[in-house]
This record gives sequence, structure tokens and C-alpha cells, in this order.
Amino acid sequence: MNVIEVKNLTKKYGNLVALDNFNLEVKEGEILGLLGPNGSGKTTAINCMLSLLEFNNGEITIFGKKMSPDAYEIKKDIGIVPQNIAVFNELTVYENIDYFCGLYVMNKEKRKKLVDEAIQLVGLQEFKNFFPKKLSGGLLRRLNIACGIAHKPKLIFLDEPTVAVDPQSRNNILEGIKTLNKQGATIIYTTHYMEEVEQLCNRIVIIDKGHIIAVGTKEQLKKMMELGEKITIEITNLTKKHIENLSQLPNIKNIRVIDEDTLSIHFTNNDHNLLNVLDYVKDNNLNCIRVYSELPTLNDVFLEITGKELRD
Amino acid sequence: MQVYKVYLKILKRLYPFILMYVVIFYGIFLLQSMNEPTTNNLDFQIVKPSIPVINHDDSLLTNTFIDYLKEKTKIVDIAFVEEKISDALFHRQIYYVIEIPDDFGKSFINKQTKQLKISKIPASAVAIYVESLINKFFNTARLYLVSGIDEATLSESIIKDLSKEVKVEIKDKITNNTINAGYYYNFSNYVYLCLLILIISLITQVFNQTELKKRNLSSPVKLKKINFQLMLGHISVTIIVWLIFVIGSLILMKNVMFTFNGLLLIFNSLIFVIVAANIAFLIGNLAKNSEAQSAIANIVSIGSSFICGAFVPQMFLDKKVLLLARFLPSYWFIRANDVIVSTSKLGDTQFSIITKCIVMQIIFIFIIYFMNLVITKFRRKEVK
Amino acid sequence: MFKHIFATRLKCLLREKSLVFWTLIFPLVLGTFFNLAFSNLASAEKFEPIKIAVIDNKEFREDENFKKVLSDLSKDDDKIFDITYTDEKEAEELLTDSKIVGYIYKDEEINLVINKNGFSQTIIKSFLDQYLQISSTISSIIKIDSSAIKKGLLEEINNHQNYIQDISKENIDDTVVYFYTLIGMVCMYAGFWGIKTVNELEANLSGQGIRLCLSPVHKLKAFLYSLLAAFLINFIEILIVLGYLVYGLKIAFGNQINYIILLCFIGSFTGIIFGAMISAITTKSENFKTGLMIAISMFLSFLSGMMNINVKYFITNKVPFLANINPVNLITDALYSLYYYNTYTRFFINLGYLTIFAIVCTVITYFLIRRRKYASI
Repeated sequence: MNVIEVKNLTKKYGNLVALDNFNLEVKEGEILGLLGPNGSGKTTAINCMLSLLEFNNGEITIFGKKMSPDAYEIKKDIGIVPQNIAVFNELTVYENIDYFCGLYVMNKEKRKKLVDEAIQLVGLQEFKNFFPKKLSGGLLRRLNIACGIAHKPKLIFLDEPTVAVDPQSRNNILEGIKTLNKQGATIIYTTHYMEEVEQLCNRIVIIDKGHIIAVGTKEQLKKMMELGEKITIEITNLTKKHIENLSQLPNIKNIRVIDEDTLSIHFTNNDHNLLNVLDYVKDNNLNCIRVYSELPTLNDVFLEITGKELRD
Repeated sequence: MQVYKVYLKILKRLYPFILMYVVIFYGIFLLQSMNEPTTNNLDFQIVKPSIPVINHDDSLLTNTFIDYLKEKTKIVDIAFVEEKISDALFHRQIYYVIEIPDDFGKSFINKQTKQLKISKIPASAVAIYVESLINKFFNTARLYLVSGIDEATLSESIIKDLSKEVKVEIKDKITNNTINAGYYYNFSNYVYLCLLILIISLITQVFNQTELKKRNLSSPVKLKKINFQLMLGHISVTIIVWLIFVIGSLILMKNVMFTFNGLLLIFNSLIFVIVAANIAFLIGNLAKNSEAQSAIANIVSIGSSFICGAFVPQMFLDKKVLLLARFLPSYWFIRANDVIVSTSKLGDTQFSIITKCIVMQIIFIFIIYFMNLVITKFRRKEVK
Repeated sequence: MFKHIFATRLKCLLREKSLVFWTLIFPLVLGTFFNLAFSNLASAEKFEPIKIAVIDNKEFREDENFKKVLSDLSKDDDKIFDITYTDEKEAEELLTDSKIVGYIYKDEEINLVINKNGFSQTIIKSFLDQYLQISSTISSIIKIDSSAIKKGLLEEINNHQNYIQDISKENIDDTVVYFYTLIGMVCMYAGFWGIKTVNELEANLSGQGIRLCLSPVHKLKAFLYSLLAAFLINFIEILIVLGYLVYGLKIAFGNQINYIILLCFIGSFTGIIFGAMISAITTKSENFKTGLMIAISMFLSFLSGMMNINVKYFITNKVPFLANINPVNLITDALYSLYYYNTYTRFFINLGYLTIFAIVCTVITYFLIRRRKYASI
């Protein structure tokens, strides 16, 4: 069953088209990664799905019902973690989580249990009575998450929850999200960190300039791009002829010259390519300084599709 | 001059804020001076209080009475709506209202007892004055009635009698403008304190923020140089703020400000802005954050303005309040202003008071400066 | 849900120390300063005997009548003059040092020497004139009717009669107005609470707002509950300030306590909704809005006479429109009319204008925060 269905969503800010004919399906129980550089329209897409933003065109259903600002039945089961820290500075960690949880869960005892669980999940037990101003950036992010998920929603939106976070907090956060998913929550996770998506998501949607440019599991995406092993090799006595010869090797997709001595050789498959390359080096008495092989990353996928790096 | 440049940049951003205080200052000052009677004539003139007269009678006697009043008072033309007059009385626009009932003149001549209905601010000087005029007029009339003359002769005789006057000689030639200048400078106490505290303490705080200070301390620019540039910034701000109001006074009251008294007022205010700048620096050093700082700025400036007589003149303040005020620099600044404008011929008595006031302010400068030194030293250790 | 939001909002607002300072501590301190400055003002307005000197020369000593008149004017409680009898040189010095307002010396005529024009000087002259005038009167009456003295003229001279009936109002202490503007200011400072409330409610103003908008809570309901919390705090603050003024500083407030509380109730609401409106109109930062609110309420208080009571009179008479749309002035004027007038018409007119102001702000605010979707966030 699809938890969310977005059809032909278009959102314009004046002349600027933020989302252009955006279509998306989110399946129950998955962790969907919305991947794209800053300003690509990830947050706008989420805000439109949640009926927070007006949009020009499109249809959105969540849990099979049409989403609207007063679809309280739907909202009851949604949790959101906004991109910016959204907590009250005047309330302690506990009070903050309790307040936001209280907007969903009236029963005090039940709520107390839920709040404690949320604190447990993000590992803020020791900081229960701290005011947000006293928390470090990473702990604040964890609080930000706890406030959005304490009421055990079935569908959780996490909008770049790990921006500017120390590695320890990041691991804690990612583990927490996995736990939530295991407990049955469907998760939509936006980020521009490739590694997180690879580590976390079942399915990935790549967005750029308001368009979906690719959808699939990470393996599917890589396959779709026919991306295989990448071998980088540094040779001091390299000539044009050698490059031409190298490109005749089996399964070669292309060769990029990175600088005078360095080549990046891309293959369409993943196995046995290094041997072929090394054989050629040996046979031709090439002076090889370094060679290493990598499996393709999503960054390569993104690079392949858009021609630009993700992180800028 | 990196630090100094940053200083000026922050200052530039604060200009709407400065503008707001300037507007409020001149707004109040102009309204206030509009209310003062303008007797700039150097010959003797009686000061005529404004008196509304509501006359229901049309006899020769009452008309003579009103003519007489017109000579001694300003009979104002407030719309004779009871509420308007009551409002004016309450707000001290007028101190006395006379209502002449029907047939008052006739009743008076027939020695009956109709009375003028009056409303007043009791025991005020105006009330005493106007009542003496009323009594004078009607008691004189009463005396003539003893001789049984007719109304026309009566009126004529009264006017003749009441035009007898003593000779008046004016020794000093002080004008209302001078008094206005005193008010202007007293009131400037508030804006000087408020503006300087807000600006200087805000900027001090920006530069005191530990992170920034650490960076400054570790930068190749020597701490002494930084402090020197900051000091230069504070001095610039102080002079700018001082000049705004001094130039304003020169424009508004040029005939007063270019006299010796006027120059003394300016000199006194220069001493005071130095005190104010030191206070501002102290508050900037002490206040923990910008919220606390704006709270302190308001309380210090409004508080010392009220207690020391910037808003309500010192002569109207309670003795005990004034005793307390002596511990504040504003008191000495304002006291000096009051003495400076009290006469155009400053004698030894005045000079000794003015000197004392200025010396007191200088003592305050040293005390506060010393406190600042101690605190800055202490703070530097904290950072290390 | 009401209890949950209401209680949390109370906590949030009360823990914002700087707001509590501005809306409660600051007015209390300001009231104390007002009191220190004005406590003596009513008695300062009272006429003080004017200090004069009389040159004690031969001419003066020989004029028994004049001596008697001066001594009559300078004895008893309601004396007009404080007289120093001295020689010319000392009188001159006293005048230079402003120890006296003027001095009198007599040669063939009566002369008055003063330093500058002023009201005290006018009074001295008026009383001296009177002496000459009575002499003139007596001689002209005797000219008209030589039997006047027999008819009792001299007795009649001292038989002063009262020609006036005093119908002054009792409550005429104008310094109370400063304290009334203070109440008006506290009401407007409620705007700070309003700003904070809306800021934390609107999704395009804060993250907390986003969370609230996405929760299954009706936004207007949440707004109403939050507003109530802000209102409760401000209303209690006003009562505290009012209590301090009435019982601590003994400021006179008329005796219609119910009406005063009703006024504070509406005033407090007006302030909050005004702040809410400002907050909803612009997406600028909270600091900007708070600064704007301070500037606005300072300016409105200034127009209502907080810095100088004449400003209020001037505005009310010359620009009545401005007086009627200024909530601080309306509150001040309503309190003033309760204190000064015995009728309530003016009070209710002020209250009416204030209510209209509040309703306009409420309607604008309603239309601004009614929307559930935003054009941009």
C-alpha cells in the first residue's frame, strides 16, 4: 500500500518554478531518501505534501485520503522534524517533548511513557531538565527529533536532521531512525549527505531544480546509470596511445583524464577489471605509482545524472 | 584602525534609534516652550495669566470690570463648554475661571449679594493675584457706593483710581529665552544619558564578547591599540551626540547661547557628557547581555532625570529626594544649569556654586573611570 | 487540550525574563520615580510668600500708612510677602543673589526694583498699586461727597466683602495623569506578549509554528488558548501595578474600582491583540517586532502626556483625531475622567473608542492568521 501519493505537484514562487510536475509514491514501511543539493526543492516538496504551502497544481493523498490543512485524522499519525531547530527556549528538554507530544496525546500517563521512550531513543536521559540553550548543537538536534516523534507517528518526515552534527550524535540519530522504522514507521528522510542515504534508505529519490531525476533502490540507481567499478591509476610515463589502448579493454564505459598522470577508468560491471588493467600496465612497462579500485557511490550517480557534485 | 572602523559601522546602524530620541527630545522641548509666556521685552511688563470669563450679565459695571481684567490678564477665548474649561483648568492651562451671573451688576449696585462663580487651582499664585484684582475692583466700587453716585460716574472713577501705579525699575535684563535654555539643557540630561548608555554600552558589549575578545587578544594588533581605538570610538560618539544637541540649542536660541551664560551652559554640558560616557562604559562592562543593558539604560537615564530635576525642576522636588540626588552626577549638572540661567550678571555667589557643581562632576568622572579600570583588569584575567 | 496549551504557554511566557521586566518591573520602577519626582509638586504649586526687601530710610519710616499696609501683608498664614528691612546696598546684593524677588524704596513715590519680569514681580506690583489706588479712591470720594467720612467711609474701607463663590472641583492634582499614562503603557506593553504568542504559532514565523500547524490541533483554537494565557499574565501584571500605585504610592484613582478594572481588562486585551497584529503583519524577526513595539508604545505614551502632560492637552485639543485612535491616551483619559469628573459619559466614550480599536485589530489579526496554508515559509 502507498502511504503517500503525490500527483503532478507544481509549485511556483512568482516566476521561479520550485516543483515541476512532481510525482511520488511512498510505500508503507520504507525509509525513503529525498536526495538533492541545497535549494533543489526537497523541503518545498515536504511542505506541500503536508498542506503547509499553497501549490499551483497537483493532488496529494496520505493514508489513502486527500490531504488538507484540516485533515486532522491524517495529521494525528504524522510526525515532523523541521530543518531548523523548533523548540521552546523557555522549556526544558522534557517539557518541550511533553508539550509537542501533548498536541497529539491527551492522556497524561500514556504521554509520560511516550516522552520517556522518546528521550531514551535519542539518548537525552541525562539532559532531561536542561534548557535548550545549555545543549550543544548535536544534542539540540536530537531534542528536535524527539519533539517530532514522541507520539509514535506512522509517518515521519525528517528534514535534514543531521546538519552540522558531530559524528557521535549523527550515529545516534541514524540508529534512532532505524529503530523507529523497525517499530513500523514509514520514514521520509531528506538530506544532501550521500553516505546517510546509502546507509539508511531503502529507496531513493533524487531531486534537482524541482524535478525528480531518478527513483529507485541504490543498486537500481547505480545499475540504471550502468555504473560499475571505478579504477583510479597514476602513471608517470603516460601517453595518448596508452589511453587509447586502455579504452579497448573489456567492459570499459569511459576514461577520464584527471591530470597529466592520473586516469579514472569507469567500467560497466563490478568484477575482474583491476586484473586487466594491471596486466596492461605490466605488459607495457608502465611506471605505475598508485592504483586503487572503488565501487560506485550515489555521488557518482548524481554526478552522472546532473554533471555536478552534490555537496555544493 | 580596524577596530575603529568596525565601531563606526555599528554606530551607523544605530542611527534610526538616535533619530527617534532626537525627535522625542525636540518634540517635547518645542511643546514646552510654546506653553511658556513669551516676555522677551526688556522693559517691565506684567505677566498676564490667562483667565476665561463667562459673562451672563451686560451691565456697565461688569463691562468695566471685564475691561479692567483685560488690562491685567489675558482673557482667553476658550469655547465656553464646561468640559473644555474644566480640562484646561486641570491641565494648568488656566488657573482661574470667572463666571458672572445674570444681573450681577444690578444686584451689586443695589447692595444685594449675587456672587461671581469661580473655579481655580487653590492657593496658586494666579488665584491669589486674580482674587486681589477682583477684590480691588469691587471693594473700590463699594466705597464709591457709600457716596451714592450713579453707575457711569462710578465706572469712570474706578478706572481712574485703578490706573495709579508704582514705578518699576528692572536691574537685570534676563529673558524667557534664557530660562528656556536652562530647561533645554536640564532636559538634555535625559537624552545624553539614554543615548550614550545605549550606544556605548552596546558597543562595549559587542567588543567584550569573550569569543571576539579572545580573537582580538590573539590577533597581531596589540591590546593597547585595540583599547585605544575603542576609546577613540567612544570619544567620537560622545562628541557627536553632544554636538547634535549643542548645535540644536545654538539654532533655536542663538541670542542666548552666544552670551557668557550660554557658553557656560555649553561648557557644563561638555563636562556632563564625559560623565555620561563613563557611566555608559561602566554599564557596558557590567551588564551581562543586551537585554539587561537596555533595562539598566532606561532605569538609569529616566531615574536620574526624575530625581535630579531634569523633568520636574529642582525647586519643586522634595527635600529628601534632592538629598538623595546629590549622590548622582545629574544633580550637579542640573544645579549648575539652574544657577547659570538665574541671572545674566553672574556674581561671586553664583560662580562659587557653578564651580562646585563642575568640580563635583569631575570627581564623578574620576570615580567612575577608576571603577572601569578595575573592572577591565578583572575581566582580562577572566578571559585568560 | 485547553489546559495543556494554556499551562505550557504560561510557563513559556513567564520564563521570558526580559518580557517580565519590561511589562512589570519597569512600570513599577517608573511609577516609583514618578512618585519621587511629583510628591512635592502639588505643594510646590501653592503660593509661597514672595521674598522682598524694603529700604528702611527716612521717607519710609515717616509713612505710617504704608508701613501698616506692608506689615498687614506680611503677617498671618496667608501672608503675601516675606519682608527684610535693610539698607540699599544690602538689598542690591540680595537681589543679585536672587535671595529676594525685588526691593521697595520710597522717596516721593513708591519704587519697586526687580531683576526680571515674572509673575511674582507682577504680584508685588499689583499689591503696591493697591496702596496707591485706595488713597486715590478715598480722596476722590471725599471730593464727590465731603460727608463720606461721616457716613462711615473709613469703617467701610476695612469692611472687605467677599464677592466670589468658589465652585472648584476637588480632585485637581494633575500629576496623577503621569501615573495614568503608566497604566496605559503597561496595557500597550502587553503587545510584547502578543508578538511572542503569534510568532510561536505561525508556521512562516517559527519552527514551533510549523509543528503546531501540522498537529491535529485547530490553529485558531491554539491561538485563542495562547492568547488567553498571555492575557491572564498581562492582566495580573496590570492589577499588580495598579495595586502598587493605589496602595503603595497612594495615587488617587477616582472611586469606581469596577470601572477601572473593566478598563484595564479591555486595555490589556487591546495591547495583546495589537502586538499579535504587528507580529502577523510582517515576517521580520522577533527582535525587529519588539523594537517596533517599544517605539510605538513609547511614542503613544509620549502623545498621552507621559513625558509632559501638556502634550496630552495639546493633542486632545488640536488633533482630537489622534487622541481618539491612541489607545494609551484613551486609557489615560478614561482614568482621568473617572478621577476628575463626576459623570461617566466621557469614561464610556473613551472605553468605546478603545473597544473599537481592539475590534479593528482583532479583525485584522483574524484575517491574517486565519489562513492555514502559506505562500512561502
